[in-house]
Amino acid sequence: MTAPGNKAAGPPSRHIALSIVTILLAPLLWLLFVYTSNPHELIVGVAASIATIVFIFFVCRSSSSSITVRAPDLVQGWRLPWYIVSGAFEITLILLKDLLRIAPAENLFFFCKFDTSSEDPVRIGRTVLAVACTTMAPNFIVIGIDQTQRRMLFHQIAPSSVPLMTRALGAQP
Amino acid sequence: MNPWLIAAAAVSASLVPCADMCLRGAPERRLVGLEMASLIVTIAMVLFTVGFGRSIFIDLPLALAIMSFGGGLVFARFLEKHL
Repeated sequence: MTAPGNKAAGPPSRHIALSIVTILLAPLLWLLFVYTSNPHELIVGVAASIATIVFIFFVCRSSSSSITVRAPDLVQGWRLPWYIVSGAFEITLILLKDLLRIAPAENLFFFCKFDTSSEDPVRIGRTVLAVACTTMAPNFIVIGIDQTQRRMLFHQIAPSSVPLMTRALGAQP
Repeated sequence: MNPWLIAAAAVSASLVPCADMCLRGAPERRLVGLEMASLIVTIAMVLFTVGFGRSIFIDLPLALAIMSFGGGLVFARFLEKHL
């Protein structure tokens, strides 16, 4: 988290490049998704694009550290659909057992080591990906990653091993 | 009634245990119920969209999937402060 009033750290050229890409991409993506040139849609599109650009600007401004997301780390997301499907199935079974009073659903917290850093942009990128991608699976909610103790705290209602995707991003169970 | 709508009804039925989970217990349990419910609602909305032949409404489950993902992360960050 950034202290209030912290000015943009990280390379300004990257922020400028990101702003230019956003300015170009936001209206284009709107047109692509909406797929119409009706004036009322275009007016909403202009407002949405401006809001996107403003949000990106403030995110860049308040970010205290640069993030590098490498392609091999991003590719780890290919396992996500399976984790979502299998997690949904597991949870449905547990919820049904809980509802029918067969076996109460547990409330489990676990932690494991996680290779993170507050300085290395690649590790910061991996941490962000680990939190975002792992939390998508319904049976695995990452509560947080402590950068000083290098530990990941997560919640489950059915115990299972740390996903391979998260291990590839730095978890060490 | 077509197979898509039958599938959507079956998927929607699994919202009942999620509702039970969301209404009882510790906040972390409720968050799991909420995440699961948003996943089910997204799938159900896609099935209803195809079932009723109104493909224009596919935007709704798409938006819900993105928003619920962000919402889950925000709730997790919020819970972290109380642990």
